[in-house]
Amino acid sequence: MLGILYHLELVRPDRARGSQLQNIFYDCDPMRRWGRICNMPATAFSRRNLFTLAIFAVSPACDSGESAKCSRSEILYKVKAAKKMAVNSNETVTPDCLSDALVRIGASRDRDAFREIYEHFYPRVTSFILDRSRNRATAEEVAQQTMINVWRKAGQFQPEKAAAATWVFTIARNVHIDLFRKAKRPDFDPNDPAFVPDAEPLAHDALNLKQEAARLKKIIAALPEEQQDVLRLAFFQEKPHPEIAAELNIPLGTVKSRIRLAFKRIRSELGDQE
Amino acid sequence: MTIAHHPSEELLLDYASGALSEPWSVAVATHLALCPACRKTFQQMEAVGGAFLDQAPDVAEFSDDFEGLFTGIEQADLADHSANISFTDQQKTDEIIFPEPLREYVGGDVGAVRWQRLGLGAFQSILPTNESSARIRLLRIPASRPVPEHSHRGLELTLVLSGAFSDSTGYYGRGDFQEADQTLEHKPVAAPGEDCVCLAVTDAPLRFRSIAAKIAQPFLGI
Repeated sequence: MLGILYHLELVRPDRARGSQLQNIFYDCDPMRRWGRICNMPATAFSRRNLFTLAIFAVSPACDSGESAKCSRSEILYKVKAAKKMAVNSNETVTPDCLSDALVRIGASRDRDAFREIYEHFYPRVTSFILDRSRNRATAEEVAQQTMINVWRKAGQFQPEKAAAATWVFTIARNVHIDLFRKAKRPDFDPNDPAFVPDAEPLAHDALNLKQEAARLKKIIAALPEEQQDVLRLAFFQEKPHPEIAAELNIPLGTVKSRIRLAFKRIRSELGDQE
Repeated sequence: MTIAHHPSEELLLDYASGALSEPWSVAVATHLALCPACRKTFQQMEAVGGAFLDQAPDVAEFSDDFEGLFTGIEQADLADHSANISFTDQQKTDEIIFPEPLREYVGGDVGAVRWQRLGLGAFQSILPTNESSARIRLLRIPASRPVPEHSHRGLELTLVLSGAFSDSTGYYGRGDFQEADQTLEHKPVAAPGEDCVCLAVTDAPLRFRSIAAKIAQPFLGI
């Protein structure tokens, strides 16, 4: 048992891959560690971790009361499912885990879940805002305030409406405008009696949306380079489209048509698979 | 209600990325409150923002102070009970003409507007914002009456809130959105039956064609 734990330490995943797994390694209590691994969705494992999991599944530890929560056959089933997932996607931490973590924070103020969100998003928000503000202190302040707002507003997160990263993005965007541009960002309010709701109920559920988020990354990566550049300048540097035109030294009309083409493609690719 | 005229995607993108400044954002956000179709596009744009955030490169050194942050949050939560206040359901009513965020800027619905006479039966009300780069106003044009013919030096966004108007580019009813720039010279006419109330955001004074309107312009503040 100890030997296997040791092995798990060796395959400690790097940050770019699973932060949820990494998180588990921060947990010093081995029993809790196993419990948490067993409760993780299959999608959270990379191929490398699968190997470890497979060793665990055939080890005697699996039969002992220490891991009463999950039997060998369950683990083997998980390994199989995870293998299938690993073939379909290169992602380790799927948006799944993050979205679930946000729901857990909202429902039960779950500290572990918040740690998962923090591990994943704090460095990303910092580097994302660093591009917008070019100032490390600003970026960290925005990242911290974003995390605080995530904790406070998690109850408002709706997994069937937005992916975790999308929701965190909107919070970071608003914090940055509020704290550093010292400006207001007028926003519509779905609870407003004058708000016109969607005519038909949302076509997709939470699961669809998670898959959509993964697909969206591939669609963006497959866009022509010139369209990606425009989107990157818009989101990473918060440039309005006339400034994007100036930065790229291209006519305004060209920027407009690149934006329109990009979203036309995104819409049709996402629409095709619904 | 079907909305036929929508904001351009580049304008929606500027709003989604956070780059659009306050006055323009009021018009775009108020349109989004009325237009589920544009909200769908807008949400896809935010999802692109999320995808970029998720792929943001790692910062050189990540100063992990989770404990410090969490302790701070717990202390703040103890001091501030407002964090747990939930919304009470408001009564649904179709009587409200101005959706949020516009109502907040006006300080109420259409009844709360303090109209200023503009001549020819038209009225306006300038709404305060923190930014001077552009100006937001409400316009009320009497039914069947024209707005003086004008072109634009900069950008003009118009959102119809009640009644309707039409010009050479089409018919604009509640929720319809017009984006006009230097290239558009138009002569909007309010539709018969009801006064047309719309929100207009401009970044430069309008250019009127008739001499009389030009002379009056500095006094009218349009």
